[in-house]
Amino acid sequence: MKIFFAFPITGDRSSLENAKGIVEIIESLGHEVTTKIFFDKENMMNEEMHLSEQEKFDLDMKWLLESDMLIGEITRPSYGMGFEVGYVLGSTNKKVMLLYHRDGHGKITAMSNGNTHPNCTVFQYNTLDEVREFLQGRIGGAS
Amino acid sequence: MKIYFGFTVVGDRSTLENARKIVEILESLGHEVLTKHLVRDDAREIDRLISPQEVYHRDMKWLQQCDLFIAEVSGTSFGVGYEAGYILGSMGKKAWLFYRKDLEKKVSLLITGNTHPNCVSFGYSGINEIEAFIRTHLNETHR
Repeated sequence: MKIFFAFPITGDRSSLENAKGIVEIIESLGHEVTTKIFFDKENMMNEEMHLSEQEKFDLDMKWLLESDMLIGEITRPSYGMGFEVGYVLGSTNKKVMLLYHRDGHGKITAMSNGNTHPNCTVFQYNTLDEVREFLQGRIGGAS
Repeated sequence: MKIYFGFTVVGDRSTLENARKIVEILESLGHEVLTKHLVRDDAREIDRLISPQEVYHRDMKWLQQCDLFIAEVSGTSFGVGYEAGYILGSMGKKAWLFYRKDLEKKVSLLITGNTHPNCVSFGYSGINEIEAFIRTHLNETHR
């Protein structure tokens, strides 16, 4: 499957190490991460791509609609991730999985931990091993 | 009109005074702001009186009921992003996003670069600019 992995671009990127670990897990399960450019180089979307903000928005929406599923690391919540999640759940039948580290619990909004949309699953983790086990159960069989 | 006004509850609320004035302007023009409790000092405590699932259901119901979505998005927020994405993705309603112009480089690309035909992003230097924007565009929306 093609997976849109969501992570803050201009916001708080302090969960970057966990985000990179989750991308590796997704790839090890045989899936393609369409937004890998966010992680190949630090903050590449923001700093190095010579595109206008409008072009970046259009590219993001294109990746979003081309992907089969959205997985987000939302420990440090951002407007952009919320927008992507709301847009996917509102306009498509694609599934969304939102992962957050236990430390971020107090900052997690009702739009994620109260989300009852049938296509949305929220998972709290403490270690990447827990994330691996969770994703193995959900997307481990497909490639 | 019924207006859903989006403003962060758990994130950075440093533009609360501006958010409050936006609600005042909308009400002074005869509109109903469904989410006006968000600009109270105790917004977070109010939302904590009910479960996150109830908050989610309430907010989604208000999104369905509203005629127009307006948000103050200077402080990043997963919840406000979700609402904007959901309304633009699924409902054919207009969304206006206001942010402090001096924070233009810090707010999400999905705000400043939003090319969705129903979305307008507006960087403001003073509340008077917001008031002028609202007066002009509400008249157009009415026609």
